[in-house]
Amino acid sequence: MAAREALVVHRNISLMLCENPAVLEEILVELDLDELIHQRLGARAIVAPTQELVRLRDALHARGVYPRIVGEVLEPGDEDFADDEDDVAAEEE
Amino acid sequence: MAARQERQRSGPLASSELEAIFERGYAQSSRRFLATLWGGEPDRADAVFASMSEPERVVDALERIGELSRSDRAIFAALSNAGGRARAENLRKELLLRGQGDVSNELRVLARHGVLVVLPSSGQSELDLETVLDQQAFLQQELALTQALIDELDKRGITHSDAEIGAWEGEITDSRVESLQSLELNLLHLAAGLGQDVLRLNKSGAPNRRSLSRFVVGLTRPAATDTHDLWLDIDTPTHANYIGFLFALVRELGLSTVIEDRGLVGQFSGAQAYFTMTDKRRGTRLLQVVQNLKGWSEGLSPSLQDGREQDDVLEAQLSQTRDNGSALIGARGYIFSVLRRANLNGWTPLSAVIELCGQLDRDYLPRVFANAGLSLQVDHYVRAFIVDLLFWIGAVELGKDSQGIEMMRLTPDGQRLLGFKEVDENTQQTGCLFVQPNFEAMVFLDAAPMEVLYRLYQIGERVNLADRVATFKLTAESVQRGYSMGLDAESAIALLDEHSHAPLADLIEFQLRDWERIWGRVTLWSSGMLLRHDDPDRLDTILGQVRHALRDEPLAVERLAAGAVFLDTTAEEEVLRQLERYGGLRIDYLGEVPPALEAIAGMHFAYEPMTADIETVGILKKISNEVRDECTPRRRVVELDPAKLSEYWPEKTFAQIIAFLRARVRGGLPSEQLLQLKARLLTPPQATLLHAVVVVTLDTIEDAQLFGSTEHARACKALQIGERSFAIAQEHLDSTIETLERLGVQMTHQ
Repeated sequence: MAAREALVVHRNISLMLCENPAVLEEILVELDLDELIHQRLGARAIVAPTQELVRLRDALHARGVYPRIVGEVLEPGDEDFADDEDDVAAEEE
Repeated sequence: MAARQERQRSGPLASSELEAIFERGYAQSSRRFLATLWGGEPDRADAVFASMSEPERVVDALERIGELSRSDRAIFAALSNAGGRARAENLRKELLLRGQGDVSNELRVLARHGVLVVLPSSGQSELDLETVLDQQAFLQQELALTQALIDELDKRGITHSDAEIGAWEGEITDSRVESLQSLELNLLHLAAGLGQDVLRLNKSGAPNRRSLSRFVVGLTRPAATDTHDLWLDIDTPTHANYIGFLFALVRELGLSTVIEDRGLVGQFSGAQAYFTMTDKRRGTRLLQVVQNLKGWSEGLSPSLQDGREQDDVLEAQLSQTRDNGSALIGARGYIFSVLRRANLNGWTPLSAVIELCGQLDRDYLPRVFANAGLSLQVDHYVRAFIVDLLFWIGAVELGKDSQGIEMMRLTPDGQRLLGFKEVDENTQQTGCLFVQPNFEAMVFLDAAPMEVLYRLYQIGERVNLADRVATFKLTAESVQRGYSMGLDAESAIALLDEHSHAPLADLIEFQLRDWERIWGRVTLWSSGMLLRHDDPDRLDTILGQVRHALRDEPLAVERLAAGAVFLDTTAEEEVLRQLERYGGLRIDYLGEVPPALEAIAGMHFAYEPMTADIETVGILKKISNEVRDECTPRRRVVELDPAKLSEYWPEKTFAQIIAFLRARVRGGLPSEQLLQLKARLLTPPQATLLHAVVVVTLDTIEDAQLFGSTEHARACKALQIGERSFAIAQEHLDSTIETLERLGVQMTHQ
């Protein structure tokens, strides 16, 4: 095992911070975070790589939680929608 | 003399003016020309003017022209309407607009008959009429009538008659008008939708049809007048064309942006900046964007009317990545310039405006089209510009006269956009809202400032639109979304209160504040740094130094746990510089992520929770089980679970796990463990072990190849080892010796 590092700096990380531990517990009961890469830190916070921010936000929105957002949300292009021509091909099959 | 030379600026030609012209402005040939036509001496302007003022000579002059044509009469009428003098180009433009066609030649003919007097421009001297009349520059000269001629024309009923110059009189039926506000409401509706969802794009850049159909809901068609025919339908080509126009505007106004060529999303800051501008600035910005529109082309509109190539055209019009309108930026500028210079007062035949745009600079539009490689006809293009582009932005009203002739006129919005009229910024509208206790806000569109509508879209969902009244529903979701966009309860309450007919109900105020309280319970930081240290005291020291170094920079610090702190700052590089002295590990989720796993053996791996990146730990949790007996707080040991692996990576499972491990195991994945993984997860590697073998080694590669291809080698399944050796089972030793002897090979036994 390599020597253990004392200070670890994670960059480009998103944070969901709740007012108190009870709010986080309440949210975790309602939220399905299985698909998300994240880590719980302490009693009030969840951290995730920035790439996961939109999915985290959408998961919160889906549960009717509209968090205060600090900073810019960069929307990634996602591949949920096939091209129209692909749709047509799929229908023909 | 100075007084005599001073040019007259208005009214019919005067004697003193002609004297000044004879003295300095005209060449001898021009003076002789007028004197010959009217009588008098070429060096006596007063005598020539006296002749020009004699009624009999005026009648003679008109007789010499012959029967006055419709254009001649229109020229005389327009000129006398203008007070007896006008620039030839302005007359030509005016008469083009009145449906008289291009009268340049008629103007020349009348000037050659001396009834229109060509005036030298200031600074011009020695004007040679014969030469000027043959030049295109003739249209820049001012022309004047004498009072005597006007009197004669008056007697004949030609002057001061709108009918003579073709001015339109009558009733308009079937008029259609779109308001600028309706266009802006569509833009706002679209921008609000794009703020909540992504418009998916095909590879071609055109919107995915399913996705587009969601965004079109609630957009109204231009000049819609009743609720039955209010909405846009993406299957109607002309509607789809308008939708393409709206999307191009939304994008080029900065209300949305394309991400990775596969989606269109709202730009919150751009929308806020645009919809909170004053009406005047918004109008200026809109016109600027319309003129420079790149993503949509009115040049393609005509082909949608006659059914040609509709699919390709619509795909181009709807594309969010093509610049099919760029080539027409110059053409648009030209038409706007013509319209600004044209005297468009009241209703005008559409064909006359089209002709004016085509004729004013005959070569310009064809040259633009040719340079852009477009096969467009000028009249088709100008027509599309007016009936699509100008109509859609609410700049023109279209209609028909009693004979079915298509007519147009500028709307007040159009006059404002083209700079003919100023916006009255002082008309403060109040009382445009009615907020009901059921959380529905009805807004009267004609009285609502755009910023109010924009704010309502932020905190509400538009649930109805009819008869110029829009209804917004305020819900927990919509209001909290508005708070996410920067509004707070107090500003929302103030907005509703200020514009509401009646004081806002206590219930509404209470609920808006309560939603803010709930909303404030969770904060999402979009991007920052996480510092972890297993010694909390040491972390405090480091943090103190970072705070000190960044005392002049914005820095937000959130303590998450004893050994974890989150930093949000724009000076991230400076923080990293400060942290350099402490060494340690850097993990960048958009850059380099150092390997965090230790290979143990077989399916077993280990990591340190403090130093491992979140992604690796997150994926490990989905594909492995902890070996609890071997775990310590500082070191976690996991065993890969084949069932979980197949569930997480249902396709190419082995390739996926190997790629995952290769990128994350420190020092690389050992071969032994790779073989073990392959044996467990794929098919076990196969091996053949030969016991009691004889090795035959030939001297040369060539001899070895020959031996390998003998019948004996095949029969005893000789296994080639390297380039010159073969392994043969012990049982074939005797037959091999015999074969080699028979082949004449000299043997050495070891």
